[in-house]
Amino acid sequence: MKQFWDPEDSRTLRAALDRIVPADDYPSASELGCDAFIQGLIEQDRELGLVYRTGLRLLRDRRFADLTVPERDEILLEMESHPFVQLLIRQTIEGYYSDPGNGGNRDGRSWEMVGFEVRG
Amino acid sequence: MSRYDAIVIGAGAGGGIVAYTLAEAGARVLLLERGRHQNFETTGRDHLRNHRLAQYGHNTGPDLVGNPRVFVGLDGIPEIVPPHHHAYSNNAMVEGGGTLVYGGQAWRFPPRDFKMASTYGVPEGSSLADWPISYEDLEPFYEWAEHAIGVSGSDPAPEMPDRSAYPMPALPQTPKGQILEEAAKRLGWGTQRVPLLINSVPRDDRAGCIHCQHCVGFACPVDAKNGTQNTVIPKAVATGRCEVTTEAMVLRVEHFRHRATGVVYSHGDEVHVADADKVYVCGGAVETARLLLNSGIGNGQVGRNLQAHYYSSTMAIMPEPVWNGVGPGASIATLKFTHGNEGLVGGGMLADDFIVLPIVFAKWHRPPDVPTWGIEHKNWMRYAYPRFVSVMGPIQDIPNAEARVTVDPYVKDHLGVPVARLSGTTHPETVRVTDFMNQKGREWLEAAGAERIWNSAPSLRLSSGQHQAGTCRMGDDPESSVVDATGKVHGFENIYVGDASVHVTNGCLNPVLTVMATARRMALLSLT
Repeated sequence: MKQFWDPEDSRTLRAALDRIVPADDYPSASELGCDAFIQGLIEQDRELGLVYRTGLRLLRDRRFADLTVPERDEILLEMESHPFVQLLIRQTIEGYYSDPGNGGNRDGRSWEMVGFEVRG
Repeated sequence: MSRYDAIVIGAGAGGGIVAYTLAEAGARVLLLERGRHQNFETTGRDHLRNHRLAQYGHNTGPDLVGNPRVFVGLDGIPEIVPPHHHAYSNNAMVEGGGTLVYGGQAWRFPPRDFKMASTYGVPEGSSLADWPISYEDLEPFYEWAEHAIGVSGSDPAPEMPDRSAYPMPALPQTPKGQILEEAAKRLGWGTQRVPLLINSVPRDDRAGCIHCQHCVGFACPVDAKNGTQNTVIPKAVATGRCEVTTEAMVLRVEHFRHRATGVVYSHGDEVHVADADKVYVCGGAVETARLLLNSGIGNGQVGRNLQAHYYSSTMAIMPEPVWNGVGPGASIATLKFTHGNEGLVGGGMLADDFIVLPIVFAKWHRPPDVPTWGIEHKNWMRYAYPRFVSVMGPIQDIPNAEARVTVDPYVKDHLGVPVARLSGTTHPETVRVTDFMNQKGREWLEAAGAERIWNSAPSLRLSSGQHQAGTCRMGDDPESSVVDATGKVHGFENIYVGDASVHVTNGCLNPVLTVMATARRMALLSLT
C-alpha cells in the first residue's frame, strides 16, 4: 500500500516522534523505525489512518516540522491531553520498546539501552 | 454420527487431564477444543499481541472477529467487546488452554481456603461458602498433578502443610529474589521459592528451562514449560483411545430428561453430532457457563459467583541494578498474609514478578510523576528498568452471586450462538484486602532498601480474567450450587464439570494446580 499521507505528513510525524523519544547516545524514535511501525498499524486499521491524518493536520497547521526543538516541545506539552497526542505518545512508546518484529525497535536497540537481552 | 464413552469439551488445564484420566482407564474419548494446536513458532513472540499484553490482539484463539462478548460495566451500559479487550476476560483458547501461555505458578490452596465461610463468617452481601470437600480430600490429587504435569520448587513456607518433595529442584533465584528473601528474614516473614510448572532440569523427554524471559503470555521455545498440551494430552492420544479435534466449537450439549446424549459441534464449516455415555464440560468459567446456559442445563445458579483474582501490586526502584536477565523471574514468595489478618476476610500471597518486558514496564510501571514522553521518559526507562522490583500476588476474592455470566439476549457469535454477557462486581471486602496487601508490599520493599516505592489504589470492579472461576459452584445443596461434591451437575446423571467453574472460592493463590487436582479427582470419581 502507498503511504497513507503525503511527504509533509511524514515529515511532521517524524518530527513529533523524535520529541517523544529524542536521540541521545541511543537513537530517536524515527531512527529506530517508529514511523514505519505506525504506518503498519494504519495498514491494518483504516480508521486509525483517518485519526492520524486529522491529527497530523493539527500539527501541520502550526508548522510543527519547521519549528525549533524547544518550540516543538512547547506545542506537544500544550497539546498533551489531546486524544491524538495521547495516541501518538502511546503508539510511539509501543513501537520503540516492543519487539523488533513490530518495526519500531530496529536491531533491538531500545532493549540494549535498558539492558533487556533476549536469551533463547 | 460417532459414539464415544466420553466427550470432553475444552482441552485446557482441566479438560486435558479429564481426557487423559478417562482414556488411561480404558474409555474411548473425544476431546473437542475450539482453539488450534499451536507450538512456539505459531504462537510467536509479538510483544504487543500476547496474553500478557494484548494491545492489538493475542497469540491464541479466539479470532478477534466473530467472537465477541458483552460486558456490562459499573454504569450498567452493555458494551460489545472483542477477545483482546480486557473486559472480555479471555482465557487462551488453544490446545492446552492457559497452560500453553501461563507463567505456571503451581500452588496448592492451603486448608483454610476450602473453609472460608466457617473460618471468617459470611460478609453481608457476599456468597462466601465452604467447599463441600477439604484440603485433605484434594491432597492426593495435588500430589499427582505435581508429578504428572511436573513442578519445580523448594520446601513449603511455614504457613503451608507438609508435602512430599517436588520432582524437580527450584529454578534459579534472581538477584531481586535474594534481596527480597533477606528483607523478609529481617521482617520475620517466612518465604518459599515460587513453585513452577516448568522443568528446572530435563524431564519427561523434554528440555530444562533455558531462562528466556518470556514465560507469561507466550509458549516456551524449548518446551520446558509444562502444560496439558505437552504432557497428558499426548499421553491420552498415545493410549489409542483419545481422539483430539481442534477448531471444534461445541454449540450445545444434547440431553433427554436427566441424561446427556452427546454434543453438537461445528468443525470445518460443518455441524457434527457425536454421542457419548458421559459429557465433561471443561471450557473455563465463562464458556462452560455459556454452554450450559445455551444447552438448558443446570439450575438458576449456573453463571453466578463469577470470580477470579484481584492483584496486589507494589512497584519499587532499587538504588543499584538488580536485573540479570535470567527467567522465569518469579522466585520468592511470602504466604504470611494468606490468612488470619486482623479484621479482614482472607488475604493473599506476595511474590516477585516474572520478567517484565520493556514495553510492559513502559506501559504499566511508570509512576504518575514521570513524564510519558521526552528525554526525561527515556532517561527513566534507562535508569529504572534494571533497578525495578515489584512484589505482587493474587488476593482471595470474596464472591457475590450478582457477579455473573449470562447469555446475551441479542448478540450472537459467527456461528449464531448467543455470547457470554459478564456483569456485576466483586464484593467490597476484596478491595479492602487488596489495600492491606499493598501496604504489606510496601513494607517488604522498604525493608529491601528501595529508593522509591509506589502503587495504585484498587477500586471496585468485576473480577474475572485469566483466573476466572466459580460459575458452576460445587456444593451439596442444589439450591445454592451447580455441581455436587464429585463434580457432577445436580439433576443430571452423566454431565460433569472439570474446570475452575466448580471452585466455591478461588483461593489466595494462583488456581491452576487446584484446577488440575479437582479435574483429576472428578474424572476418577466419574468412573466409579
